[in-house]
Amino acid sequence: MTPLTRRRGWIATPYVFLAPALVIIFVFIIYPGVNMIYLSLCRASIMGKIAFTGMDNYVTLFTSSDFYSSLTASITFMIVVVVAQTSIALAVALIVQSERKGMGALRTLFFIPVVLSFVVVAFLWKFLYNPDFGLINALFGALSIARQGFLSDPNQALGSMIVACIWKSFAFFMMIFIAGLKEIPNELYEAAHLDGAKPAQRLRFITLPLLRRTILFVVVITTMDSFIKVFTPVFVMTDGGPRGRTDLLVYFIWRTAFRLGDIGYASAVAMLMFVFVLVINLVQLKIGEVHDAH
Amino acid sequence: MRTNSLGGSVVRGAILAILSLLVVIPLLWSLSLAFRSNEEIVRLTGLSLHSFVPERFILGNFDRLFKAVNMLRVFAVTLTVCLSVTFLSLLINSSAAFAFARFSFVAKEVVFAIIIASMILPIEILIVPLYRTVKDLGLMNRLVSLILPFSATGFGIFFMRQFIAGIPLELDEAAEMDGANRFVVFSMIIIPLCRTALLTLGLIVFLQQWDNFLIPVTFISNKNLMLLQVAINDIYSHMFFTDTALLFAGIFVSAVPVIVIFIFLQRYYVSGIASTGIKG
Repeated sequence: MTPLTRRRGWIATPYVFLAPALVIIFVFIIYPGVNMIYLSLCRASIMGKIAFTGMDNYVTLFTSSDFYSSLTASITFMIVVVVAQTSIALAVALIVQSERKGMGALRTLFFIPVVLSFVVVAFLWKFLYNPDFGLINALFGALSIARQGFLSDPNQALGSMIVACIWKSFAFFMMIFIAGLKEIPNELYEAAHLDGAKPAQRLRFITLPLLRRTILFVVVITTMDSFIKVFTPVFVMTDGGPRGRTDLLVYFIWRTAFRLGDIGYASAVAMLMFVFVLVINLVQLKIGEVHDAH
Repeated sequence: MRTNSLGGSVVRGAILAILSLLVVIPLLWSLSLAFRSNEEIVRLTGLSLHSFVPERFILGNFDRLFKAVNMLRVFAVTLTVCLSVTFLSLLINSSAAFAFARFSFVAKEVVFAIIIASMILPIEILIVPLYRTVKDLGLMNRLVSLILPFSATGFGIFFMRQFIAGIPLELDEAAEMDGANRFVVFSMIIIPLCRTALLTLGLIVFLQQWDNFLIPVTFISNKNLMLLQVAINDIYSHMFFTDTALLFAGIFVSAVPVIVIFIFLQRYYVSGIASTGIKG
């Protein structure tokens, strides 16, 4: 990446190439980002009235049970998705990675939910869970299991949403794992086979250690996605209910700003969420460094 | 891992069979809803072959769909937005990437660091102040509000810079010997050599925009400018009674093109995932 120095060219040339991107990033990311800090310190309505109130929004926030229940839902959602989805994706990848006949077709099949939009998948599951004619309750009926409320049951709503989200996304991470598995030299498995290693031993002593980097990558992306990229399923499937059980933070922010019109308070929640994202990013960097040192 | 015990392959086969069913059955079931009447749908309380195959196969839902929603316009608006964002972001990101890969200039490191840092502000968090910016600029309820804010991204610049930095400098130098200026080098040498990277990035951006729901649902309330995902939600939220058949006809029409395109472009899409880990 040696830049061309000794330039006889026009000195402003690099800025011409850079200008459009810089303007857009400043106007639509950096400026709003800074503005968010200010808004979080104001009583601000979506209609435009703004008054500086200092830390008021944060005080309200930390004493609000709605916020804590939203935070709890978000963290629960994140942990369950990271653990369950990553395990499923890895397990399936181990099976379908082989070049045996039919595996390519299966990979494509599993990938279809990834290609579908989140709105489509959310509606699909909303109706699969329908208490009256939904397929899952029809199946339960046939198996003589009591009908369930799923999305309308406060104790089942979050779990039901998690199942739908994993159904949509696991194959995406399966593909990443398959790419990681392809990097592992086949000679290692052959050598292990000659030494009489059992499949479980090969998994434990070859596959998993050599896949560590990929696993880490997947965990980091999933942590972010399951924390942040969850607006659509909540909007479509539950609207945050029942009783706020699926009111994940991103939805809480949106609802507070655009349904209740309180953009000051919404910005304060967004600021806290940003701190979380920042921490996750820093942890990721740290792990990356430790990893590179090995 | 080529040697398998018989027991192992039975377990593997069983897992794959169950998983395939878990993927296929919801798809088939919802597919069938698009071809049924609402009367039939509400009677689907038991499990039988008719859970997946309509008793009476009808196409009327699609008639009703195209009467209720101007699907042609919805597709046109959606494609306009997706293609504009894709085109602009490829152009703007790669030209910024070119500046970072091929020039030295004042404050280069700082500017690059700021751009990279902008990546950690996800749109879901930024939506509230961004709404105000868009409103102040008078872009509310205009398609520009869905295009301009997304036509430069830290990720896109970073991704393209990595790629451009890998192109031998001698190519630039040779062209400049022949009298080409930097703009010619960029458009005639660098861009053509970035084909694969541009295709991968373009596909990622396009699909992200195609799936985008949060932004259009927040910035656009004009029904004439509805994007596809919003239109589907609109069918549902404006139903006087639960017109499930109409909704699933809409879902069918919106999902089939994507699945078909995916099957053709699968190779590029999957290689994009493997190299970036970015999904919609």
